[in-house]
Amino acid sequence: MPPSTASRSDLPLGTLDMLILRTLTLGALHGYAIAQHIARLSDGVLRVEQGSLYPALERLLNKGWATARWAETPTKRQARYYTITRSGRKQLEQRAAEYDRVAAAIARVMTSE
Amino acid sequence: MSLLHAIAHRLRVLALGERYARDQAREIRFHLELDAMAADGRTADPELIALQRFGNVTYYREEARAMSPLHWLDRIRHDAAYTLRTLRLTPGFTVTVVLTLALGFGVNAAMFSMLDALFLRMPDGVVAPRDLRRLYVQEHRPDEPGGTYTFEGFPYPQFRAIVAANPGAAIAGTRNIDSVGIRIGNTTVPASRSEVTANYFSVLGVHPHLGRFFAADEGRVEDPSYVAVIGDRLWHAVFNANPAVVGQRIFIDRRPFTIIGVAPPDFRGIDLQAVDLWVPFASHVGHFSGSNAPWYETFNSDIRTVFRASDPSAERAFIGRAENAFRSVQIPYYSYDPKSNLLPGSIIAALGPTKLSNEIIVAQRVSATALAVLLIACANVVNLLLLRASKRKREIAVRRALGSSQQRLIEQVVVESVTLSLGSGLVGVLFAYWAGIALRRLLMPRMHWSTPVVDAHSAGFILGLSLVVGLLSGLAPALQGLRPSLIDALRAGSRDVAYRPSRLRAALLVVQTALCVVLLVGAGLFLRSLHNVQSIGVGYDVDRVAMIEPVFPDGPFAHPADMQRVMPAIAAQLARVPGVELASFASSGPMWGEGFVSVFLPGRDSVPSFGDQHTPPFNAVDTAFFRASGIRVLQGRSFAASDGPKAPGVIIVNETMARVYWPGESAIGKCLILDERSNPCATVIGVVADVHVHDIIEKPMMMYFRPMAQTKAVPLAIVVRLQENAMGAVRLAAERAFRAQLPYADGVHAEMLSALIAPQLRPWRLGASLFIAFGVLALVVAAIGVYSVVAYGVSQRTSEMGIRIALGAQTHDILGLVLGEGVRVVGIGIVLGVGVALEAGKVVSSLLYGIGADDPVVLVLAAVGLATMGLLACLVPALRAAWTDPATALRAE
Repeated sequence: MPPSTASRSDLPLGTLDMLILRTLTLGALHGYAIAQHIARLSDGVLRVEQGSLYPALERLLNKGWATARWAETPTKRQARYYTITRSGRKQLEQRAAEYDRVAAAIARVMTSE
Repeated sequence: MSLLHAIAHRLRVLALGERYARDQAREIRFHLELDAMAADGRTADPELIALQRFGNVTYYREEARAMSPLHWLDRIRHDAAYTLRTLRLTPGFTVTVVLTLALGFGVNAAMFSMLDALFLRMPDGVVAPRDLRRLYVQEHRPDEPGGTYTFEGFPYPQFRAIVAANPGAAIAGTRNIDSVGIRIGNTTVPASRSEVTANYFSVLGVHPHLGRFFAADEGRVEDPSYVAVIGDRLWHAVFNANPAVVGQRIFIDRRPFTIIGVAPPDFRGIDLQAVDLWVPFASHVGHFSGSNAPWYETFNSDIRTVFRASDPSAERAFIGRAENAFRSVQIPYYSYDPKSNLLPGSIIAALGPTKLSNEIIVAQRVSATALAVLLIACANVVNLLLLRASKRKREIAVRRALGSSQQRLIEQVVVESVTLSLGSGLVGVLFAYWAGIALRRLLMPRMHWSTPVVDAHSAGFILGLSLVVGLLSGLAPALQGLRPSLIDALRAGSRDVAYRPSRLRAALLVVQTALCVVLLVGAGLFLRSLHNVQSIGVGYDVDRVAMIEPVFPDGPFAHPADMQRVMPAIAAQLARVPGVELASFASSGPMWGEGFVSVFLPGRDSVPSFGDQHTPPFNAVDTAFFRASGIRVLQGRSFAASDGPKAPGVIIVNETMARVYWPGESAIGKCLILDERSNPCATVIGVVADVHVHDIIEKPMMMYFRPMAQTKAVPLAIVVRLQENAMGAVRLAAERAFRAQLPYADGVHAEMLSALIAPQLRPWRLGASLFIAFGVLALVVAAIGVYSVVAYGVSQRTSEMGIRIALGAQTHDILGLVLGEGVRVVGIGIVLGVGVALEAGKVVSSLLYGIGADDPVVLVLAAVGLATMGLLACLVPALRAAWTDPATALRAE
């Protein structure tokens, strides 16, 4: 569990969608699991604001990049599971490529003498 | 792919509605619970921690909702709900707007549906109606406007020749639709009957709903088959849609017919008048031809021809062959212009080459005035919306100050006007139904229309119109409402101290007033035409004279010997009925037919003609006929009992005939030879005033009278001169007398002459009624408009008025101030309206009678009417302003 004092870093605009889509490539997940996954992999640096997670998911549904259905969790509770669609994967590839380009550019600027 | 998912999701959200919102809430709860479980043991209040992490739940929900794909729809729903709420708060405004617009819509839809039925609608239930053509004869007649006269009927011999000349062509014939009584068991039901050729249905491509249609041999004219096909309406109304109707027997004109089939529900014939019953041509033998030849060899020109031509060249070939055949046929007693040619025409009769009836022309022209009513209504509604927007200026300013975007406010105003307009459209459909019924009754009262009053066409028309009107009328107030600067609006409070009248509002009032003037001028012109036509003297005393004739079921008229015996006896009997002054009889009733024989003048090769009149018509009359029917004897004497069969032949001519035959001399004592050149003279013993032969409006015509006793003519009509209110008694007495003395007559046709000629007044009556109805509507609407604008102005200036009165302004000063503004606007409107009326008058001038479209009396009356309306509408608010209590006015706010 990361320290509660850890500073939460604001996500650059647009990256949240990419992170969610990337997470969904692991399989169907509910919202809490998505948030947990992102937090764990980023060692608690990237904490998804729950208040922006659900609007973001709604947005993905609207764009047709993900679908959702109600299903039972292993603990016999009802939760809404999100699945990435084929066009969602395509979108993810594009976003990832774009991100790589920008990240590399930033890195070059930052490491320059 | 993503599109499919996206659409599916949006649809789901739309379908689930509130449930989707609950699901979202459930999802958040689940998240909160998991969060709380994760934090368990580290704080006393896990819910609180979760909430802290999660943030403002309500905010998130709103956010998610705003994300919703159909948010704009949601917004419109909110706007509509808001609109309905505010409209409920101002019921006077709402009702005024809805009624005004609904009237405009209803009137227009009724006119639209009328024109649709007349000019646009192909007959239902027919295969490829555009290929169906009607066949017309065009004769050259120099005296007709355009030099030609076009009609649709052919004598059977010509029809037969046209069919024979076009072997293999799809060509069918029908007769005019008439009304008959069908007897089924003991009841008689009315039905409209069409007589058709056996191939009628197959030419139209109609298939029986039940049973079969006519077989070829059932169409043989020499050997009638008594079989009938009934329409869907009759089948449902009379036979309860019983399939066993096929084979059933019914009686038409006392003759048994076998029903062989039922037409499909959507087929009601090819005319405006719906048909209930089809029978073969020959089954109705009552076509009195006046000769001994069977009807199918005579000149009765009553067969309308329909043919199918898939392309123009086929049509030309058909017409060419038909024309040759048509010209080659000789029919006894039938003379037609050898230069006549045949013309094809649309299956929609009103689009054909025949002259439109005056009623239809009036309907067509007057339909433009329905648009004027709508324009007035729209102008009024825009005005009311503008006023409403002004009253809400402050509310709008506050909302904008609180952060509502301009777009949102415009949206809301437009949603409001569209809601109002659509609501009015719904009420308008109702009005359209009533107006449509009234219009049809007015236009063609006896017609059983083949199209419904309001159908999908006209309902769609109304809704489309109301949407457009709603959008347009919302724009002006929306834009105007946004104009004032926020600060001014907020500071000024609910009323402007410096009141400035709005130009737009004034312009709208001017337009309303002008259109109103135009409608009132139209009403005046048609009313005066109607009056002029009504006061034409037709030569008969139409308000004092009734015509009575027996009606026969079918077949040739009654036996001449019977009529010669019975008619004088019944006339004598009727003369004794209280209220009857005199009764007489004649071979034809006044303006109800005529007889012809050849006429010769001694010593001359030919007789003079008068206009297109070559042989003058005659009426064989009893001695009392002139006195009974009110014809004035100008010279000489009337017939007397002494002018019997053995006495020397005598005649009486009318003024025109006397002038044409013996110009410059007295006709009395002159000789006219009748029928055969070798006959002895008939001496003119009197000259009577001209009487109209057929119509109320006709050029003077030659006519002469012969004593009944000196002709072989059969008395067919009784003429009775009676006092007011005696018609009922006369009708009863006549019915009783005919039943007793002529039992095979079907009944009696007894009517005042004024009632008999009334249908001829219909075009003017129609124009006058429509214009008056529309004019009054427009006047009321315009009055509301003027009143509301002036009243609003006064309410805005309450404090100004208070100050003026406090400073010593008198009642008449204030009245003048308020009235002046309204009267100026109305005055401009009147001047403009008179100008438009003069211009528009040209379109209807051919429909007027005895009056020009620029009639000064009508123009002045319309202007005065409008001015009065304007004054009255301004007076109420003006008085309110004048009676303002300065103390109260200044204290307010």
